[in-house]
Amino acid sequence: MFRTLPLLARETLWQARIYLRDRAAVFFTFAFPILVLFFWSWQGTNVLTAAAFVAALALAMAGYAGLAMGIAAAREEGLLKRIRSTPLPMFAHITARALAAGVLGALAVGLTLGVGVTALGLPLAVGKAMGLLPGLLAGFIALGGWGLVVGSLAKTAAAASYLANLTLFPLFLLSAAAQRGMLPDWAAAITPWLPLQSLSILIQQTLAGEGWSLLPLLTLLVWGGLGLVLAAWRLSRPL
Amino acid sequence: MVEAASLEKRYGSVHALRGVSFRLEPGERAVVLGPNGSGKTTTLEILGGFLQPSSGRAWVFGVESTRLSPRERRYMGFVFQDKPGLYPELSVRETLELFGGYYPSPIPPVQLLEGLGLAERQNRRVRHLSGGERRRLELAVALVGRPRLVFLDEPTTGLDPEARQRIWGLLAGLAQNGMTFILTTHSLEEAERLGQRVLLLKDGELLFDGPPQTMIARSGLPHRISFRKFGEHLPPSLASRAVADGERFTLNSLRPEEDLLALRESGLDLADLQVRSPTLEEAYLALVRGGVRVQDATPAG
Repeated sequence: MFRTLPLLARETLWQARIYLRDRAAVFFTFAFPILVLFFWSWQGTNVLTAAAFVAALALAMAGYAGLAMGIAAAREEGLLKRIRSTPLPMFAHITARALAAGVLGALAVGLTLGVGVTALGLPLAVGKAMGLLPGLLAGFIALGGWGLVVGSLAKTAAAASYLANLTLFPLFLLSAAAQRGMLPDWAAAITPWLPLQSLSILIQQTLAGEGWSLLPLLTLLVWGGLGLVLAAWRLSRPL
Repeated sequence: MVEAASLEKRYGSVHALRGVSFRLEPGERAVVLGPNGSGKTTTLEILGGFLQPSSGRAWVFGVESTRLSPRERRYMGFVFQDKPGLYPELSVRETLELFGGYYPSPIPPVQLLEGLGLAERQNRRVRHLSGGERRRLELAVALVGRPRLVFLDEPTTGLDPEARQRIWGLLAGLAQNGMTFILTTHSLEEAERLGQRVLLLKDGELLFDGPPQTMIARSGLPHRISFRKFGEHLPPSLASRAVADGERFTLNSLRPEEDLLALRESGLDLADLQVRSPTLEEAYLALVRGGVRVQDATPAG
């Protein structure tokens, strides 16, 4: 265990470096959410609502889509097999990928909120920002857990991309419509149980200084638990 | 160091390996030959612990290959046939720093890069390397942890002659220092240069296991003795087998020493005497086309 920890830390730094060299991943993690934030603000959406939702989207890009596509691409390029051939335990490699995605996702959230504060007048105090951490952690466990599941299921990066988009895009649309109160009753009933919406509600409540509601936090933890159990089962088999 | 016992592998109705057994002792250099689809890669993948055999067992360093742990993998290196398993976003040097960090005492990247002729490419991203350069980097990654045992699946495929010679030289040098390797190839020249021992597979069956020279001898191919003769007739024992082309005679001989002795004792006036032994390639083709299992092959070690 004590030998593995330094290896894990080193591997996490390398994985973050590799992620940051992928231009498409960097664009969709850091730039795309900011573009969405500006677009929504110009549409007249309340900046607090827009910033909270886009911050959740930024975390989903790194923790869900980035992780899923990264693992599938690594399998497709023979990297996972290469890792298996080395003394680095596979769980350390996968954990490092997840940690790197989590750190970069948190940076993307910070960047999004920072742009909201400086360019769009989002009210955010340092104390409130620290209060975001538990919600972000729960959100990352939920999104990252399912990112691992998709990454372990998809045989190629393209397949992972389709799967991630096929699931993230409807979540994005449903949550976006829910922010504007544009959903039919049946959709409005299920949206609070979806991870992206739950995360954006938690972020919004923290930014507004309202404290956390239990329901979105529990929702995220249940999604996270399910995702991690499934991911552990999938990843315990040869990749 | 490596042992395979009655390995069988089936993919649906395809029988990829049929009872393959052999042992490899420390310091041995084995070359696995065989046509496409003969089971070479499957054998290496099972030994490396990447594939589960349908039946039979394999051991590496005394540990069953399906249970190899990071402890054993510290002493193993791999060059895979199909996918490079490299990060396209990293530079050549970074790749070796990353993979070298997994091992307790890695070879410094500069030393490896110079040995493989990649020093000038050390800052180039992997995605921008040529196919041959990438192949050399894969070999460098396989060697960076100072392995005792290396699995090389067609390591020189796609390389230019200079790069191939460089890799042969490097592998020969490492072998002299006691490294064990098992290599698959379609190049008979490579097999002759690097292999102490040949494992010949066809349709998943081990046709031959032994030194290259033994494989040639066991192939049943004749040596070709040719000469020019003046005057006198050939001795009757040779005359029936000799083919004349003007003054030049050619004799196919399964016992060249005996036939050469007979020629000398005949007192004939011979000129331009040449003896050509069958090559490993000819022996390979004869055995593969014949498909005959050489029962009395002598495994090395």
